[in-house]
Amino acid sequence: MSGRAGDLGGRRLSRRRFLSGAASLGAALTLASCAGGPAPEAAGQLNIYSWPDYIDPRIIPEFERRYGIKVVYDTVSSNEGLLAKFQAGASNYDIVVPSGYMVRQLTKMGLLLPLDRERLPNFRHICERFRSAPFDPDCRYSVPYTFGTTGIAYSRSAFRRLGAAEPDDWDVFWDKRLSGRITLLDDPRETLGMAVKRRGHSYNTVDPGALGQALADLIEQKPLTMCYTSDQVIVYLASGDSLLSLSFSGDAHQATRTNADVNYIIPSSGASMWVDNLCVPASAPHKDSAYRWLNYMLEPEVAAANANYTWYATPVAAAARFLSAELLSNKSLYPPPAVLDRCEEMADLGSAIFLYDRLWTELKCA
Amino acid sequence: MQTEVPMELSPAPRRLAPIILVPAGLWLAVFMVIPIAILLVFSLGHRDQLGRIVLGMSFANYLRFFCGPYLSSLARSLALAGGTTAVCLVLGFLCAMWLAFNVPRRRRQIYMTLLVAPLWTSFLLRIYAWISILRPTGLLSTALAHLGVCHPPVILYTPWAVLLGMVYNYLPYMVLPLYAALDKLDLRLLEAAADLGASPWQAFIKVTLPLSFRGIVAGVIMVFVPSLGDYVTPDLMGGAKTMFIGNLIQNQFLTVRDWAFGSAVSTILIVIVAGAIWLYLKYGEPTTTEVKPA
Repeated sequence: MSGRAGDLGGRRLSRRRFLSGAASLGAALTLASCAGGPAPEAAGQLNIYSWPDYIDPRIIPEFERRYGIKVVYDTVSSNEGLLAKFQAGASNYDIVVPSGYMVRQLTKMGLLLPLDRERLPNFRHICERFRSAPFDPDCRYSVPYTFGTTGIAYSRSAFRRLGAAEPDDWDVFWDKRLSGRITLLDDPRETLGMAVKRRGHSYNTVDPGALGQALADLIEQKPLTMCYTSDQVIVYLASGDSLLSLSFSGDAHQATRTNADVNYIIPSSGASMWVDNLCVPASAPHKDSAYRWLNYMLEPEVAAANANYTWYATPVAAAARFLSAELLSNKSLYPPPAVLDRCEEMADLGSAIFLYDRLWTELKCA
Repeated sequence: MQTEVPMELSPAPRRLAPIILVPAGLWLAVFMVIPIAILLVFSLGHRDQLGRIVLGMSFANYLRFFCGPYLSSLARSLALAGGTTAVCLVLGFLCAMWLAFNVPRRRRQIYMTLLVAPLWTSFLLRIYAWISILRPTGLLSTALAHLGVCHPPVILYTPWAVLLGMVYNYLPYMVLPLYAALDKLDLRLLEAAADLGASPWQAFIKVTLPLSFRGIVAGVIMVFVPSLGDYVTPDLMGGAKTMFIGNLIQNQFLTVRDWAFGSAVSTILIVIVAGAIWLYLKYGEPTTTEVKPA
């Protein structure tokens, strides 16, 4: 059940829906065969440890040609898998791609290299919005790579049938007319966070009062919920079983490809937002190559090519003019700055994670 | 009718016995004893800020389980496992009796094969098949709608769907031991009971049931133990709307990354399962004392 392996810190596998059976098998074989990472080699190599299908394959040969560096691409299937590999002593990776909360965790454990901004002239292309994430306030250890949001996906025709206005805020999840056709994420941070945000608090609140109110609200809402799921959202939106879902932007978008009736919005009170990052391990054997790669990935043309291939949004502002029109006009993938400003990144909660766990258990046992 | 044959090994195999036991002993040590020991040690520790385990000597995790909302997940798991076992026992008994008493011997193989045939495909696939039948726009709803039922009830993601999935999954494990027990039952005993004036129901209660008691115990254990820890079926068929003890353990290891608490809950589950197996050893295993000369 790897798809259910969500985490309280933020991301999970499901948005990487591109992951094909073959790719995951490849990842599993890779994990099994080389616990220590790729074998040592001659100079001019770069070992990347990233998610399956997370780089446009055409931009790798271009990098190799330009710098004479050979790229080795290894795949990982979860943030915890990445952490476990480090804890098992892997020291051959030059580039890793952790989600925000994992950046913080790796930083706390002293596993990431502080980045020398002098060597990253292209960092100036990064949109201001992404330079102050709570997990790494000055981008000292990380370079933002892709981002997305968690908002409301719904069936347009269902709202037309009800004669209701299309949803614009979280309150819609408490609409009794949609009883039995609503899905929420099986993820304490996202679902409790949504209920907290609805009442005007932060996704990262640790205030027992605010969280207690959120729990009461969710218990009231529970009879309306069809199911709590993180990995079936695309399926249920596409089939029309779910008329209203708490959904990752990427998932909602992919459901739209099958079922054009599905729409995705970022609620007016704001949504949660996630960022995946490029980082260099402190133990990286090819730090020069790693800097070259970071700088290369921040080139607007390269970032745009990558975004056009993966459909994940790029934080490289200057890439906009190279993006395909279809992507750029998609407000759910590239929200305007005013909308993005209402969104919040999730931060590491420290020991308050126990409180979330307790409340989540109470919700499920209610 | 039966006499005890002393089961004495001749001296040569007896000398070999320790060597023969080495692979099994190693297997047990590596995959059973050591992991359980690790679980016990972890359960006394706690989680640090970064989700790493810190060893300790504290029963705080056990206290946390018994004082928090977590206890109700255990109660739910016990109720679900008990319900599953009860339904499987009734259905399984009917099925096994039919197989053992009504089906001609030469055709039993076919039915037995059909009974276990679903086990050849992945358990997840079978659950997803149920989901595609039961979901709101699924086969059942569509069929009922065509038959003119306006608002067909949605079964998926209710407790009944969970029970259905569990019974479906574990029924073969109940039928097989019951069939094995009933197959050996001497039908002449039932005839004798009838001759002596017992009604079919009395014969069932006084003859069939006691003589198949070990099959019942084996079947109950084989259904109860795995269904107690099952968390995939409740999650998929119940829409993750309820937390069972298996879900609680999974959450601790994968989501909260609190291995210490997860280990404590696992230990509690192991103790309960061990209790069930102790019952099996006490009542289910053949013992020489119960064999009475006819």
